[in-house]
Amino acid sequence: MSPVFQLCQWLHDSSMGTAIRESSYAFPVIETVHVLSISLVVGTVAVVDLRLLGIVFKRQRFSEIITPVLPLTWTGFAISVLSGSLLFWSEALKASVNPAFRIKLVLLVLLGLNPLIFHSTIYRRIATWDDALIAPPAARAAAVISITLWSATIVAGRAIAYFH
Amino acid sequence: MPLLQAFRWLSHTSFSIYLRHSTWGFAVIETIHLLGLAAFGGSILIVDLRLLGIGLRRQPVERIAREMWPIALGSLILMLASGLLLVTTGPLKYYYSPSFRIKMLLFVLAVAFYFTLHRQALQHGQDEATTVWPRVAALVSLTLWLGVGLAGRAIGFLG
Repeated sequence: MSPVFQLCQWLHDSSMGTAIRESSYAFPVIETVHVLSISLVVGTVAVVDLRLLGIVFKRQRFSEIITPVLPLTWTGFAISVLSGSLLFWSEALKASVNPAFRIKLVLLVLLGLNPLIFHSTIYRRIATWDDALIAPPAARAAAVISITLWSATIVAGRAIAYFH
Repeated sequence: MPLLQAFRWLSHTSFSIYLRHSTWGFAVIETIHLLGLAAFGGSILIVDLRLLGIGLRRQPVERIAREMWPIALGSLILMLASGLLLVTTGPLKYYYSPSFRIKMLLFVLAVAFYFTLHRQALQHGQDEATTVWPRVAALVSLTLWLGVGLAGRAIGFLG
């Protein structure tokens, strides 16, 4: 038995996992929070990405938009991760073998890497391009990757139910 | 009842019958609906959170509203189109669904509110230090739109 399977089995059998799974309202409520948090995470990060691509707030400095909006994104992300973890906890066995869920996990890892690379490289030098008319190619690439990965994550998330 | 007749007519169209029997039809349309929600919800949140003093605090309210308007309108149209297609997959099921009826009622209220009182609040956004109305408008807006979202989820869970 693989260690991953054992962990999922343990999560599935735990009182927390069982409680969520067997409650008539716990799973729907947590799932609703998870789905609605999409607006907070993806909706706000989309504004950042659109600014980098020069589609919104064109006359404002990049940092003027990015710095105040990203905390909202992180808050939403925390809610998504928390609710998503509880959902996974209750359905660990089914989720671990679900192809849509596995793809979603890979996408989330990539989604974590993208801002990490962005913030430690091109965004570190924001002072040099904050007033520019167009963002550097690396920044625009990060924005396109972000929008693509988030859209794919939403699609994969929706597909989970169809592969259960 | 003309509304029931309209839903009945829709359920008899060949397109509706096609969607009802399509394996992927509902899933694809619902995913598009969800992608629209991400964009629409985001545009609403950015503006209303600003009215509550959260987020883009240094930007004038009118500027934020103006920049977000095309995204809000475009994604709303996308959601309406995909929503109509979703209903087409089973018109009578939605017609008789209490959750769907509540959702439509809240939707009409939210849109009406957005184009009237909320718009007024945006124009007076700069006076937020002296008036409480922008904050109230933001809270009403967020509550109504959240209600639409919750009712939408309820369709799947409660019917």
